[in-house]
Amino acid sequence: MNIGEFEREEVWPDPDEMPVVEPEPEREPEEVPAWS
Amino acid sequence: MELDPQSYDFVSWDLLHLWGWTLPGGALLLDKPDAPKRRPWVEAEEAEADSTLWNAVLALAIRAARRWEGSGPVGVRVWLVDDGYLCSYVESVRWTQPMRAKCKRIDELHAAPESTCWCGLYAMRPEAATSLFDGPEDYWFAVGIVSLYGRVMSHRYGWRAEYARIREVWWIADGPTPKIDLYPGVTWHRVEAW
Repeated sequence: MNIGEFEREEVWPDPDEMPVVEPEPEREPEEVPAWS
Repeated sequence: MELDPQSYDFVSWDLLHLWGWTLPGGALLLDKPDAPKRRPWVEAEEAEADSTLWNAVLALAIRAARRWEGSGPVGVRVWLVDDGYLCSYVESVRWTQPMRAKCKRIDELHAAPESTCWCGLYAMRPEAATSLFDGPEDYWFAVGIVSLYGRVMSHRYGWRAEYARIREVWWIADGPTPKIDLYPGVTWHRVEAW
C-alpha cells in the first residue's frame, strides 16, 4: 500500500466518543409588525 | 456463532462497467493495461476476472466511505482473512476492534506512528485508492473502511494512524469466513460474484 510522501502530523479524537451536538430547538418566529 | 452478514453485495460485470464511469477517476478501475501480472501462471482470462472482482469490491468500499466522512480521516484498506481474523497483509498482524498501532522495530523504541518511521495502521484516501491498490494478490482478501484517530500521519495518498476502528468490510464468499464476533460494530458485506 503506497501512501505517498509524508505531509504532516495530525491528532484526531475517537469519532465514537465525540460529544453529540444536540440540534437547537426550533424557535417560534418573532412577531413582526406588518408595517416594518 | 453462525455467520449472519448484514448485507450481501452481488457484483455483475455489467453493473461494474457502469460504476467504472461514475467513480472518481472515470474508467480507471477497469482499465489498467499496464498493470504488472502478479500471477503469471494463471490463465490471462482468469486473471482478468479476478482483477475485475477486486476492483468491484474496492468500488463498493470507496462509495461507502463517503458515508463516514465528517468525523475525521476515513480510509480504505485491505486485509487477509486468516483463521477468521482480519490480518495486515504486510506484517501478518491480527486486527482487533478497535486496533492500536505498535512499531515492530527492535533498534528504536517509539510510539507508533512516528513521522520518521513507516509504522502505523495504514489506510488509503478513498479518492486515491482506485489507482494505487495493486490487487489481485495470491490470497483471499477483504476490503474495508476504517476511521482513523489518535496521532495520525497524513501522507499524500493515505494515512498511518495510531488507532483504527473498522466500519465496514466486504469479503469474498468463496474465501475464508471472517469471525464477525471479533469485530463488534462492523457492517459486513458478503460479496457474491456472478
